[in-house]
Amino acid sequence: MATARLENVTKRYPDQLAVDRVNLSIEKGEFLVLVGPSGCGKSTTLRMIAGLEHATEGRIWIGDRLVNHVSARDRDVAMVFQNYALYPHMNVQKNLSYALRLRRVSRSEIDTRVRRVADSLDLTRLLARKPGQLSGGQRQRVALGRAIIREPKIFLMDEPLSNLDAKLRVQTRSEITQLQRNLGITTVYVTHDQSEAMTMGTRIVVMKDGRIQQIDPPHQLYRYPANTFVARFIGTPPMNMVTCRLERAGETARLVGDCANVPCPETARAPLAAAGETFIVGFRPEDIKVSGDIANDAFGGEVIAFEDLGHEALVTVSAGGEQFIARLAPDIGERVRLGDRVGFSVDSARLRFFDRETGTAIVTKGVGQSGNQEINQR
Amino acid sequence: MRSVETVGPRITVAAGRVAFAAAVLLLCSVGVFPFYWMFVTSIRPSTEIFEFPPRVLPSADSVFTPYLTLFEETGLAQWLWNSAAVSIATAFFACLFGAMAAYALSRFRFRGREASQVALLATQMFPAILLALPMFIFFAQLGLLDSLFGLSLAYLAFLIPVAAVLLKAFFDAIPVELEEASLIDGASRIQTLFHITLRLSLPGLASTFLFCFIISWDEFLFARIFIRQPDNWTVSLGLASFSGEFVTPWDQVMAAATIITLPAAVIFLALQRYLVRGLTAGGIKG
Repeated sequence: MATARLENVTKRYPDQLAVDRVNLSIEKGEFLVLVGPSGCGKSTTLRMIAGLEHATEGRIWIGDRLVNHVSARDRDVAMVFQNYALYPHMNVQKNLSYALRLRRVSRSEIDTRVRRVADSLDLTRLLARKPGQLSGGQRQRVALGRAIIREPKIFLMDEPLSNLDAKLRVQTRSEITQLQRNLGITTVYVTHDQSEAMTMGTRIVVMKDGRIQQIDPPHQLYRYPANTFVARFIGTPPMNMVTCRLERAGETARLVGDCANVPCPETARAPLAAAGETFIVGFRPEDIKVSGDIANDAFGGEVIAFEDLGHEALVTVSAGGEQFIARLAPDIGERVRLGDRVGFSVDSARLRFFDRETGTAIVTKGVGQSGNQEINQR
Repeated sequence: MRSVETVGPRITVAAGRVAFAAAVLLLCSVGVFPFYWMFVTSIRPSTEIFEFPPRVLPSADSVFTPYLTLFEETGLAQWLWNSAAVSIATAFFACLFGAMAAYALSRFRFRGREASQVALLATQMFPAILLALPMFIFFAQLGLLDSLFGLSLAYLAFLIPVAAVLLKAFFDAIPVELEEASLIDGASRIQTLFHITLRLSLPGLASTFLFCFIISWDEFLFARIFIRQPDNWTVSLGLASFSGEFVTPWDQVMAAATIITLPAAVIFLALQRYLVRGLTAGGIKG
């Protein structure tokens, strides 16, 4: 179990900047998830920690050791690959013990450790089988076993669940989380699936175009996205975004747009006034409350789509050139028809504001902040 | 009671199978017949060899004396030994150096990589006879004429590029993550090459070895040009030496041809499982 630290780490390929000045500090025993769309640099970052790629610039530390020029074999990290990368010519027992055999661990010690890991992952009856004779889930467990048998300083996982079917993915997700909590090994986990990131990580790093957008615990990330990219990337459906302007009338101020006409929270007035003529107002679909017909204090418009998912209903509302989605209880959803004009209210404390040009969150007094505003506003 | 509807298709299926088996048998016969004819001619008394119409079945007076004569009165044993030494050494070193080149081409990104691959293919585009004279002069200057080592070197010049191209296709088909997993598990590059890459490329190595062996075993042109001394002849030169100006002992020629075919056939049969697997495995990616 060790810490890891990345200082201004950059990876540049001849035709592409894959990772751009990443700063990251991973605590002992932490489960850190790197999440982002394809090509955002999350896997490259992981591979640089593993020693499979060299950083073009910057420094990588594992514990107190600078590892930029330390080969992968000497970094004492273990990695689970997307396609498991089990050695197809070796049986499960040999796959599990490969790293120990390379380190010339005694045969009795190897047997003990293989048995212990096989027991913990329910692989005992599969020890004689080759990877080709295993199901996807079993292969996945062997890959995990191969990583934990070495008791490495850091676990690295590169989208290990993406080859599993949806049901097995959910099951394995909780197994991995539980395993990590039990072993307490520092883990860096890469995924493009935001629900995986939200359910597994103690902290989440959202990346885009090689740069870190936000580093925060799941709840903070969800509630206080640092910019519109994070707001849209985290959450299904994503955070609603509508363009508004601030209209003042004497003592009152309102947020007005194609599908919004609501009072402006007092704490937001000054920052919004300074933000420019128009800005983006964000709110989560589940923060929406039904308020009958379109009223003055409402986000509203015409219902253009309706999805009944059984446990909830998703209603898409459009007005002018904009639209948003409301997540409603099924009994309320049943009352909504396509073409209806509806209005919803949102608790003003749940409203988020973003700069229209840069997409950066406009920090308002009294609203929780992201833990790394300095990164986002760099 | 079986209905007509179920019996009908069964008969069609059975007839199809019989027709298929007959077609396979026919094709096999076409392939095997020359070898059969070679063997039958080798044991036929010399007086019956040119009989017309020819007899397909072996004669009742079959004799094995040509085989004894070959080993007692010609240098066949020595030629077999020479051929085996040259072919095995050539195939081994072609695989060894070819594997190194193929691994580099498959796994490393370096300037000139594409050009190197084109160059490897380009070596196969010259007719051998075009290169024979310059190579003869070059080898003469190096004192490598009339030596089995020199002959093997000449073969390697042609076969290493072929082996590299063949093996690259096999290496390309091995996911690079397997090697990365091995590196992270604590293996060095060399350990990874031997424990993982080459181990998984065994079918490819076997088929490449076989290919190089058979090419070297059968080769005639360079052997004819580079080798003078009968003691250094390979089997293909020895076989050609039976053709006389006035008479050719066809029974001995056929007996020698039968013997010469055997080692290649034995190696082929031993490795054929790998060969088929190897060719398909490489083919998918390559």
